[in-house]
Amino acid sequence: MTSNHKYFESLCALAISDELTGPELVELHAHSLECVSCRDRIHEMTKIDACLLLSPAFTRQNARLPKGMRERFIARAIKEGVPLNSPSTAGLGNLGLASALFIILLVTAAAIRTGPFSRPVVDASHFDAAQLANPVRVASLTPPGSTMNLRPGRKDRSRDARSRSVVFQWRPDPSSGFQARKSGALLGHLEPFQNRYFPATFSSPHYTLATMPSDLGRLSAWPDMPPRFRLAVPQPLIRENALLLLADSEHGTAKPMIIPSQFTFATPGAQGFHLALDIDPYRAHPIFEVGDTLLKFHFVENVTQ
Amino acid sequence: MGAVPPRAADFPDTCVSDAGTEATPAGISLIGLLRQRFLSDEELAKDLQRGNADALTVLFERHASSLFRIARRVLRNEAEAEDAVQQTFLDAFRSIQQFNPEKGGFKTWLLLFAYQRISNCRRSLAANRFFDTDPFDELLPAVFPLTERSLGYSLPEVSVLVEQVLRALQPRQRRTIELVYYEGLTAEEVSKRTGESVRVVRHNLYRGLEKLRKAFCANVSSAAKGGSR
Repeated sequence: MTSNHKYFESLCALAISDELTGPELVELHAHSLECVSCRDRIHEMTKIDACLLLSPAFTRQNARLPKGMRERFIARAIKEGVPLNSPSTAGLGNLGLASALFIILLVTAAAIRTGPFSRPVVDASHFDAAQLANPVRVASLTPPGSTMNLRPGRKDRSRDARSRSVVFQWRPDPSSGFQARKSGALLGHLEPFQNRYFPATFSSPHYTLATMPSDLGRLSAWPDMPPRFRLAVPQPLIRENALLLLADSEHGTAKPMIIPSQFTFATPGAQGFHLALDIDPYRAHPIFEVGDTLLKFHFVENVTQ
Repeated sequence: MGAVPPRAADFPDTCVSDAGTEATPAGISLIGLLRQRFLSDEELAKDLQRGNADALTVLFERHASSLFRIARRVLRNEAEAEDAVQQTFLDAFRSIQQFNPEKGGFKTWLLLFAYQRISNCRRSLAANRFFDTDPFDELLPAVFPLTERSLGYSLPEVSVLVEQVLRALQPRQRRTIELVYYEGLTAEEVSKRTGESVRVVRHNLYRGLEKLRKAFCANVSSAAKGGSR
């Protein structure tokens, strides 16, 4: 390849980000019709462009819509034959819905305060590090082979207003060799995960993404993970400082964006290796802890949000 | 245009909501509207597939701003961006039967769907200035339709990888990519902001994108060799 070809490679990248001048575009087009390498390059660069624009870093920042865009959209949809039953919903708008919601909330709040649903007020100030270190409820352990179990669900938690954490424990199968290594490299590798917050994104039907703080370094330096856990975190899913745990909703993959109160957190490779968690349906932080023979995952309600 | 989804009348038994509020031709009740607000994207998409077109309005309200941000960045024109977003939702409505919740979430499907259409819009706008037809149409058949599978990653993975690779770039390359992609500046505008020449900005952009390309392609090929995905 010549430096001239390098020039066209740079044009491929710039074309995708719409930074070419007209003559450059013409030049690249003529060249790429004959150059397979540049055509491939354009394909790859298109994917990079998509990745940059579709990454949540970009899409999570919503833009302010032009005024009246919603109404214009509804009018256009109707004009193009979309059978909207209630164009009047545009007139009702968010204000009407907000009013209705407000009334419903008032009625609900009154019922909760005075009715059979009343319960002790939660004092969020008690949610501190000490509490994290000593979770209120710990699940009873399952036999080693099944590795994980769950703590009681929401109904039980409601009896104790300070039960702010949901804990499940993993006792590795002794036959997996965990015992032999627990005092060695494994604990060293997992030690930084004690009592740390890991913001989790439940945004995919297949993955629970826990982004690790950058100071923890690369997860790929976990060569001594016990076999079962390694199954749960296959190498292709480890991207330096991020841990992707295979997860699946017990309701199937149809509702990946919803975390139901009974959420099945499953790891592959072990039958029955799943558990129902009573986690907060909106905000939860998993915390990793390592004991002598236990690896704990705490899902703690984020009461600060 | 894709196929028009079945009308509600075609499914007399399936248009009754879980809450028992029935969509009527005269309009839907307040309870029905409230119910829609609390449905997940996937449930709304299911409603659309059953022919309840009103779910489209709710989905538009939820996702139009994300799509508009992408469209405005890509097309660099608010009017074109609004038109592209509206067209995307109408196309999504007509293609809603293609959405399969077993393969992923609705937002992911919509984002990929939107990216494809908005990119097409950009290319055709650019091409109209210099060509009779879109010059990239014949070069890009393999990329589309864009799916997580064709990308080689799920969107959460994309997020992590992009973040990591950006961190690994030289600061001036990272800054250029962020200004171009996340703030929507042109090379000329970046040049004015940073004081670098346009040529240097373009070079930084190319080098940064090239490193991203290498990182993504290397990971995809290693995953493919491992056969674990």
